[in-house]
This record gives sequence, structure tokens and C-alpha cells, in this order.
Amino acid sequence: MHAFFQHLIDSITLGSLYAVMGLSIALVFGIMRLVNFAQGDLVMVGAYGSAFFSHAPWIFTLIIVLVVPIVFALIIERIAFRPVRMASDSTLLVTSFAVSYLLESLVLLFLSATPRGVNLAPALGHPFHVAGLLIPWLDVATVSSTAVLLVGLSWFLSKTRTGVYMRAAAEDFTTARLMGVRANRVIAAAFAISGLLTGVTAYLTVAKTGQVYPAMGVNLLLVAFVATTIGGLGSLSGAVLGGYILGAITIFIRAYFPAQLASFTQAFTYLIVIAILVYRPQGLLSSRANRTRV
Amino acid sequence: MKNISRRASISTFILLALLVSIIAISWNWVGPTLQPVIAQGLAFLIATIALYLFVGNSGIFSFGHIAFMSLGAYFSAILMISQQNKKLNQPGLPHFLATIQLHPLVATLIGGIAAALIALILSLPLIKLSGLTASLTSLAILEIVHVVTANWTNLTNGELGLTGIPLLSSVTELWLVAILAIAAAMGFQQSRWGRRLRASREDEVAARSLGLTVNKDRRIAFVISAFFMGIAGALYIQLLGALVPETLYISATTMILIMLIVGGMTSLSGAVIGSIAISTVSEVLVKIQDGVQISGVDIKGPIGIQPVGLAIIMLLTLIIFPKGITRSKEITFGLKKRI
Repeated sequence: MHAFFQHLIDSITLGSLYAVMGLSIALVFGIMRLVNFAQGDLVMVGAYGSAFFSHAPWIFTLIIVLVVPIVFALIIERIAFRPVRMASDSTLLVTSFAVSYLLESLVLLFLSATPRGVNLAPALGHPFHVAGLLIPWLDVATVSSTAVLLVGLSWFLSKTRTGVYMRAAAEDFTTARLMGVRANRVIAAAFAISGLLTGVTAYLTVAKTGQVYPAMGVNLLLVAFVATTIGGLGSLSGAVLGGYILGAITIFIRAYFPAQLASFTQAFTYLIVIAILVYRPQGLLSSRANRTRV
Repeated sequence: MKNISRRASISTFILLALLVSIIAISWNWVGPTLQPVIAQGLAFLIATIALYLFVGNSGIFSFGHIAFMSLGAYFSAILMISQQNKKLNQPGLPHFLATIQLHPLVATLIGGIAAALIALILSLPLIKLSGLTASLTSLAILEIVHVVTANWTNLTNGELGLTGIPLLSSVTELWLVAILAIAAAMGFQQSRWGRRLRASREDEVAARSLGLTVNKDRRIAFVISAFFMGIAGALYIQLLGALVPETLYISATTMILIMLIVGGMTSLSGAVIGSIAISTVSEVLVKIQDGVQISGVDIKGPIGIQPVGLAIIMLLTLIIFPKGITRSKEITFGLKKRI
């Protein structure tokens, strides 16, 4: 029973990380119908920010890790995505793939493929005991920062002018523009927020793994894709739900699977995801943006 | 009209087949450093045509097609590696597989068929998914195949990989399969399945409202495309002589995507010309990376300039010519084509 609760805590922690990442994908998708491959590389860019400033005061490092992905997200939007904004879904998808490939190759060109060790926030690594369970402070930080982000985002989307514009744009972009919603501003806002979410993911990931390398975003990106897909592409609550489901699947497969199959965990996770999609092809919570517009 | 369309497509086929034949024949004339470049370029040409057959006709992007290339490669490799090599590298192989050694061409064909059968099984759940969801799920398939090939050590020798794969002595096989793939892709896009699929690519709602249910057509394209992917994979490893899970994974995926996009996503000519162009550019960039002397001037670029160059080319193509360098039209002898 103890082990079960420990796994539950682990899956909530992992799920929080996945949920934030899924949210950053879903937010941009909802407005632009763009599934952004470069989101994973924004994690990497933020993580490199932490590697360069790891000896600075922690608050300074944190700000760098949060700001760098936002800046990159805005630059990418301006240079790569704005020219193809009106293109087909698959062109957008492939453009983001090209951006991701470019960012990764640039890091390989100027830095190197060798992982760098970063000891970020060592204080968070220590665990504390509650009722016989071992909980690292990092898990608490992960779950609580996710909660803050979720509450903050839903406040932003429902109470601020830009937030309402963003929801309108996600509902029906053309009509929203006709009603006076500024396309550039709304899209930039979506990219900035997704950059912030990615920054948080980057900080938590580096604090957990202590490593920074060019391909570090790839796995998180795949996970975020899968989370948004099972949640229902474009649905924000779906992305969060998908993130937590995926976190739970991953942890529980790892815990209860026979040891000799342990290396196949990821393959089974994806198989389960495909099985979910067979029953719910539109995802668990399907959204307006993912429906075909006539 | 039908007649013009048929004549135009035959002329496209002849032109593309000629182009590929010239490249294949030039293999005999170039030096030993360029020979592998041409041979591997041809293997990727076949893979790009196969990718086009599904993506270009259906409009659904797939990031998972390299998985079928990998499957074809592994199936054929296990069937064609000699018994002694297997004893050395794969002691855990079941008796039947450990003792079997087929002719490389038979093994290649079986590799293609195996990839096609797996595609058929996978298409049952995947066909239900809408465009973007299907694209993302195709990535999951690439991941699953990678995890399985990297960890099923009894069969694949895991990360250490397989060695002792018999080598091809010329590019004849690659040339024949490339011509066959061009013919198959041309035949498919002229067939009623291909036309229905292309209609749904342009406007799925309109196509459905006309009573076209394209699930079956999508499945046919998917399976044919996986078959040629498998064959391409099996031939590709007969150029390398060795196979590890990373041989056919993310970087190969990126490569065929760039080839198709730069050429033009929705035309066969685009797939062929794109892959030739990108193979050439990629080789030039590798040469610059390694350092090269042109009329007495040393040119040496930093390591890592090849992927950066390819990424920039891909991005600029998408922004400036979203339809690729062929503008997604087929090349013909000046015959107007309606579709």
C-alpha cells in the first residue's frame, strides 16, 4: 500500500511536468492550428540559459530560464511562423519541424553534443518524510508551480482583455478578427505564454536531471504531443488531463511491469495511447479548434 | 481529356525514369569516393518516393515512415546474414532464424512484405484518426519501433547492432527498384484510389459530401508506401553492411522530410527532384565541412554546418516556395495536365 502511494505521488509529479508541457502545445494549437515541434527545443534553449548562469544567484538563474524561452518563442513566431500563418495545417506542422531542426543544429554547431552537468537548486533535491513516504522538495515545487500556473492561466484567460481575445480567437479566428481582435497580438501572447510554460518545464527538468544537452527536449516534446493528442488537440483542460494520464501510465507501467520488460516501458506507453485513440479518435475532451471547419 | 492526362503522366514517368537512369549509370564513371554517395542517394530516393506515395496523395503528414524502413532493414538483415556471423553476434536467435540464410534479394523482398503487413495491421486503428492526430501518432510508431529494435536483444543485438550484412556490388538493384517505385507512384496517383485520395486531400469535407469515403484508399496508399519503405531499408543496409537502431531513426526521418518538402510535397517529380537536389547539397556541405580545395583555395567550414545548411534550406523553402522547387507540378514534355 505504501508503494502504491509513493507511485501515486510520483505520477502526480511527472504528470504535472507533462501537463505544463502539453498546455504549452495546446495553447498555440488552439489559436493557430500549429503543432509546434520547436517547443521541445525551447526547453533546451532555456536549459542552456541555466547552464551558462548556474553560478549566479538562484533567482537570477530562474529569471533567465523563464525569459530566454519567451524571447525565443517570440522571435520564432515573427521569423518563421508569421509568413506561413495562412498555410495548410501540414505546412505549419512541417515549418515547426524545420525550426526545431534548425535550433538543434545551431546548438550542435556553436556548442557541442556533450551533455553539461548543471547543479541547479541543490536544496530542492533533499527529500522529507510524511507518514513513511519519501517526498523530495523538488516534487513539491513541481506540483505547486503547476498549480500556480494553471490557476494563473485560467484567471488570465477569463479575466483579462488579452485572455478573452485569445479564447475568442481559439473559438473562431476569422470571426474574432472581424470583431476587432488583433491577430498579431493574440498570437504573440499565445507564444509568450507557451514560452513561459516551457521555461518552467526547463527549470524543473534541469533541477531534476542535472543535465543539459541539445536533444534534451525531444522526449518531453513527444510526451507533450501524446498528452495533447489523448486529451483532444487544442483543448486546454484536455492537455492537462492527458499529461496526468500519461504520467500515471508511465509510472505505473514502470512499477508493476516484469523486470525483463522494463526497457520496453516507453513502447507499451505509446501502445496504450494508441489504444485510447482507437476508442476516442478525437481525444478525451475534443475541442472546437480540432473540428473541421466548413 | 483523359487521353491528355494519360499521355502527360507517361511523359512524366519517362522523364523521371531517364533522370534516375542517368544518375544510376553515372555510378560507373565516378570515383570510389562518390560511389557510395550515389548509391545511398538512390536508397533515399526510393524512400522519398514511398513517403510521397502516402503523404503527397493523402495530405496527411507522416513522421513515422522511417519505422517501416527500419522494419524492412531488420527483417531482411536477420534473413540474409550468414550463419557464422549470427553465431558470433546473435547467440540468442531462435534455431530457425539462426540457421536460415536467404539470397539477399529474396530477403529484401521479404523485408518489404513484412513492412507492408505491419503497416496493414497498424492502419486498422490509425485510419480512424483525423489528419493532425494521425501525424502525431505516426511519431509514436517511430518511437515504438525504435524502442523494440533497441531492446529486443535476442533478435536485433540491441544497440550493438548487426554486422556482416552482405554488400551490394552495383547499383542495379537500387536503380530497378527506383524505376519500379516511380512507376508504382505514377500508377497509383492515376488510379481511382489515388484520385479519390487527392480529392480528399484538397477538401475532405467536400470529398465526403460527394460520397467519397477515403479510408480504404488511405489504407492502400499506406501499405504500398510501407512496402517500398521496407525495400528501401533492406537495400540501404546492404550498402552500409551494418545496422544499429539509430541508422534509421530521427536523422533519416529529417532527411526524407527535407527531400520531399524542398522538392514539392504533392508531386512525384517533386519527390524525385527534391531527393536528388538535397543529396547533392548535403554532400557538398559535408565536403565543405571536411575541408576541400577548389582551384587552389582551401575551403573548410566548421563541423555541424551540414545540418544547419539543410535546416535553413528547408525553412526558406517553406517560407518562400511553400510548394517546393517543382511548384508541386509534374514535369512533362510540355503537355498540359488537368490533374
